[in-house]
Amino acid sequence: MVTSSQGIPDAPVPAPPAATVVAVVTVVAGVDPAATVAAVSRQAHSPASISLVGAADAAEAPGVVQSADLESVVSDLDPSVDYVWILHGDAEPRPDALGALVAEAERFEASLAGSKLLVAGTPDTLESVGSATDVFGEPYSGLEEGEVDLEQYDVVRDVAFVSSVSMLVRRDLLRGLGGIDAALAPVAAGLDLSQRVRVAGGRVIVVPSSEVFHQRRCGRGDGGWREQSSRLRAMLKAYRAVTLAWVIPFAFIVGFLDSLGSLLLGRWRLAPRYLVSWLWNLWRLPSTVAARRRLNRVRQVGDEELFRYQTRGSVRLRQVGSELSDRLLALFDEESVLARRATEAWWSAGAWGLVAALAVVLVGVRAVFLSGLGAVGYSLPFGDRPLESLAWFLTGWSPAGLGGPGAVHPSVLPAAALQLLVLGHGEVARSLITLGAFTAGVVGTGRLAVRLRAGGGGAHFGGVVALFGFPAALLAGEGRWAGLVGLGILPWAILGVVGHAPGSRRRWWGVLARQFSVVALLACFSPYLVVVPLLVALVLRGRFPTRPGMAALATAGGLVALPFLIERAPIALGGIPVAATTHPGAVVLVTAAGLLAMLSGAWRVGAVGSAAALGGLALAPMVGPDLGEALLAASALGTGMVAAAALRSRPQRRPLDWLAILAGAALVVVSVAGLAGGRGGMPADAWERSLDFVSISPLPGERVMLVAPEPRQLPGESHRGPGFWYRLLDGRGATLDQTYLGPTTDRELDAAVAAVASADSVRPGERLAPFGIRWLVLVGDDSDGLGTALEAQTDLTALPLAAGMTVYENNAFLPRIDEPPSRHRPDPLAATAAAAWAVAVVGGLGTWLWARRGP
Amino acid sequence: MKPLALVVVALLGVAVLLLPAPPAPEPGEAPPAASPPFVVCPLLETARRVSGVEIQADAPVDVTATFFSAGETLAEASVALEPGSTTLEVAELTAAARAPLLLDRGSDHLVAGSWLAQRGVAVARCDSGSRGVVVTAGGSTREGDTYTLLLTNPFGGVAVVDVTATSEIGVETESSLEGIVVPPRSLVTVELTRLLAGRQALSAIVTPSQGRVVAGAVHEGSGDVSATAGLEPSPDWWLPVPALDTDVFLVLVAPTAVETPFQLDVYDNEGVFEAAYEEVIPARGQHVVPVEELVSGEGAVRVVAAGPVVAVLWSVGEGVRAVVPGVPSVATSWWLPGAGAVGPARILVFNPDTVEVTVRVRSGGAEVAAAEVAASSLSVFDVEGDDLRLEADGEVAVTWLSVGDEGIAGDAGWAR
Repeated sequence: MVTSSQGIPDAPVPAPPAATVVAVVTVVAGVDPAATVAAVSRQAHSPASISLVGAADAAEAPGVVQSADLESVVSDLDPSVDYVWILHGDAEPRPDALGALVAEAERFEASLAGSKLLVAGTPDTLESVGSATDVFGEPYSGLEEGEVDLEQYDVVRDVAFVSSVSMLVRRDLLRGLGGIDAALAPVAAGLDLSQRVRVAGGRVIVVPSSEVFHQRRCGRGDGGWREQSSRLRAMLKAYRAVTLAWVIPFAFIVGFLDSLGSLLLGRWRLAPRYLVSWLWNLWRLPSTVAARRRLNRVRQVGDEELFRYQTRGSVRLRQVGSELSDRLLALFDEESVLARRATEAWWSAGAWGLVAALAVVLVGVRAVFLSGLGAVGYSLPFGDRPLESLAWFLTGWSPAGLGGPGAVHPSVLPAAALQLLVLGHGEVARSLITLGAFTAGVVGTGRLAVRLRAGGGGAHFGGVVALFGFPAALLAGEGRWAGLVGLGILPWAILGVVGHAPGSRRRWWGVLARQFSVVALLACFSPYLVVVPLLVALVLRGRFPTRPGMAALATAGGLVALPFLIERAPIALGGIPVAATTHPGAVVLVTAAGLLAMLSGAWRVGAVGSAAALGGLALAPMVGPDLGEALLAASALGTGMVAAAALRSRPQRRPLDWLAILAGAALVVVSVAGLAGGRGGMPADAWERSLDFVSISPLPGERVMLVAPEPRQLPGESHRGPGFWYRLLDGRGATLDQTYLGPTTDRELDAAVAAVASADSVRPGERLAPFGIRWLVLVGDDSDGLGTALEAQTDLTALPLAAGMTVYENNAFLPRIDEPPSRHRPDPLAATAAAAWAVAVVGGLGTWLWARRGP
Repeated sequence: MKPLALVVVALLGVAVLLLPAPPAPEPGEAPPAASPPFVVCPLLETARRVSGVEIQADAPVDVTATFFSAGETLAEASVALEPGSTTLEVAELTAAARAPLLLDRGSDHLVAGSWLAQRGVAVARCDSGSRGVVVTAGGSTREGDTYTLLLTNPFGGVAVVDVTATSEIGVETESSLEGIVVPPRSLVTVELTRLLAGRQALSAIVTPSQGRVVAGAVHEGSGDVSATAGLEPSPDWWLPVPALDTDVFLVLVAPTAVETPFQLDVYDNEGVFEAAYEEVIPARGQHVVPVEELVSGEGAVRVVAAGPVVAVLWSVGEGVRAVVPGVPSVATSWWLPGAGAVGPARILVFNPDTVEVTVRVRSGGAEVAAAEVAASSLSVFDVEGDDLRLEADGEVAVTWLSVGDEGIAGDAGWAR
């Protein structure tokens, strides 16, 4: 009985083939190669010689040749040598390992064969049985950590690459390819050689019957910067130029997304690692180019042969996405609904309620992802230039109206950030935000209801009522998209301040950081809502565990909206209010549901919800549009909480309880009307296609002036004109960053518009030309407004460009290009807001994730 | 606390129900309707006659004169006007056969009248047109006569009008007169002679359905030509009546879709006869009364109608075609653009008041005539020269004629 140093009985030794093999042991720093050399010496298929590479000061052993590097060994080999067995100095092959490699390589006519690697110190833990990669060279073994070898992979097969820990390679090919790239890390070196062998027409296989124990002292290839850099170099060497033309940009994007995702998971090192790996490759670019040239001389097949053994997509992104989704599911898991085992979950009323509510959301916003939101009211497309929008925000330059110093609505920040993430697709970003807000709103309201002891199957239907009920419908009816998104975030902001104090200081910081981030996000969309969590924490104090101190601190997240709030302070209580005309029946229903919910036991939730619902409705028309929008959002959430309280689970049901449930159900049924259009209650597109004639090929510095008898017929905000309402848009058409106008108007433009309206000249185009107005669009029936004045004019040409509108082209048009924003220094207020946003995104989420990982 | 919470919630619900709906946002106050900053002279031509425009201004003003046709600007000239009168000879500015003119006056400090000469004479005021109905009265398509309706659109948008012709046989049914499209910067001529031949007395009602046009009409026959601008209807008209050797008719046209009763008050040498004549104008019809049946010699007729009508004096005879519109109101200050351009002017001043008024006529700023006009009587001032203006110390009605060998031309004064 022969036993190896691992104490495992050896397998029967096959008859040695005739092929001549030279073994090359590469020394691993800090590991004595003696055991490896001994194991090689014991091979049934004895190598003709054993070379030790990279061990200048190693003690000489009988039959072992010391060499400086692999290249010199290969170049000195006798042509009679068929194969070179490359083995790491921390590996210990079974005695039949080489024989199996040679036998299978001969049988399959493979140029490169790798061994099955087992973790040294364990009897049967798998490390590698050959690997696939993605197109970026990221290895994908398919093995789980600690997976036991049950011979489940024991079949000789072609693989993308084999580890350089133990590989048998044809001597002539190895020489032709220039050997192993010494600049590469161990795993990547195997990948590199495998790819080059395959490109040269060779076959790469893994031979599971060749077993090698590996101490993994040479590195495990788990993503250190050397491995990452080496993989990139291997990719740059192997692919044809045409493949690199698309792989390199995608590699950048993957690196960015991977870094971002990892940041959310609390791993900050990845981004610097990506950066270093690109810099390293930039530094090594000359040698990489030389290596590409060498490989091209022996290239036999195209990149398709490499693709055959690669997995689809990005391994890294899949891993990050998987981890993120696990964390997110945990967020929604207030009742452990999603995390429970399936059988248990589907017996839960909450689970069914959640699924049904999410189905309602999908129906209610179906048009968002089927045909887009369009442009209507305050719901406008993001535009094509997110970076420009961000720059405007930072420099305090508002493109609205004539353009000039002013605050941009903070919703531009997350909108542009997401748009960048989705490669500039504004409509995709907008749909994602909308869908996410509605989903988050429904789920968050349900979760808030649970936390306020109004849980049960109807809790998430409270979310449906909040997002689609009649206060929300009032917001949606005006197309107040930002307000609706704010409504979706609001329950999460309240959730952060309702609950017991965190168990540790680390946790406390984590919760504060998360709350700060949520409040900042909330402020981006509906700035006045940032005070709601604090108010709720104070109101519920005593009856529910709340965190008013934390709520007060997190309100600082509202700094994101500081420039906007300051600029619009003059119209906080004035301006054109939101349309808050409610149907008396709906008011009666909410009041009745609130009272019944209170009488049936949900006193505090019913009272607070009713007060928010009814108070918001009462006050919204009395204040300015921004505050009114926030009040309606609070009213919507209050209505949702009333519904949840009315529908909540009860141990016993009295007649009064049944009445409450009936009222809650009626609220849900009434809210379903909001699903009709599939746009979350928002009207159909009014402007996106109508203004195509402007946005398709705008001239530099051109603007369009829109005129209507009523302000709500125009996109976003409008100015009060003489007998009509009007606003300007730039050549991009209606975009989010132009939605909100400054509280003051341009006096010269006002004067020109008044002059045009008074019909004091037959050349109104000349009056409007200094403002860059190329197009004048009259909306709706304007027979008594500007349309009358424009009947007798000579320098505007009426064109049939948009249905339902009268479009004039200004023959006297002069481009007006104002000072570009890039020439402005960052505005201090805007910079403060941007800094708050950055802190919220990076610091807040990072700290929160850091805290979650700790005790 | 719980009962209090219930009460508060209930009160909030009641408050939301009882709170008045917020008022709809209102735009700023619409500016008052200013007088149009332009006038259009639709009758100008260079092919068969000479024509021109007399512009009267009372302050320095820069105007842009634009001749247009078939969607194009034929000629454009900036003219700096000094207070007084300026005459533009059309042939010096454009060679177009028909050359309507837009005068962008920029203010209401000027008025203009156009004139035609050779093979008859005609004058008509340059006008701003109207958003509503206008009427061209006093035409004929009898044998030897032609009656042409001119629809001008000097503006940037398309105009569409419906024309209703009315004659002694009632409202004409001619489908080609409906939905006439007048393109931007264009003149559309409607040859009523071809469409409705043989009408002894023909008027046209022009109703815009889109945009704005400035209408006018030219009536030729018996070696003379008459021209008139489109007149806006009014329930009240003053028509000074001259003594002429030809037949003169009072033509009344009602553009409304209902019958319009009216009465005529007659002022002549024999005194004042209120309601001397009463009749009803058919819906969208006209009524023609020989003036000699009403007025003995010179005098005036006041038309008082139950609805908006248009009233003109129409002179038709051998070698004479002329239309002199009435004036819808009396005033103390009158401008007479075009008077004197085709010959000496006979200014008809009627004083409807019960007291005598003093009238002074100026030409080029110099007084050329002055007289007392007795109460309820007509005075005639024969003057020569251009830039004719009239001032009175009481409200009077003013029209004018030019009687010459080539025919008769006349127009109403322009109340200032």
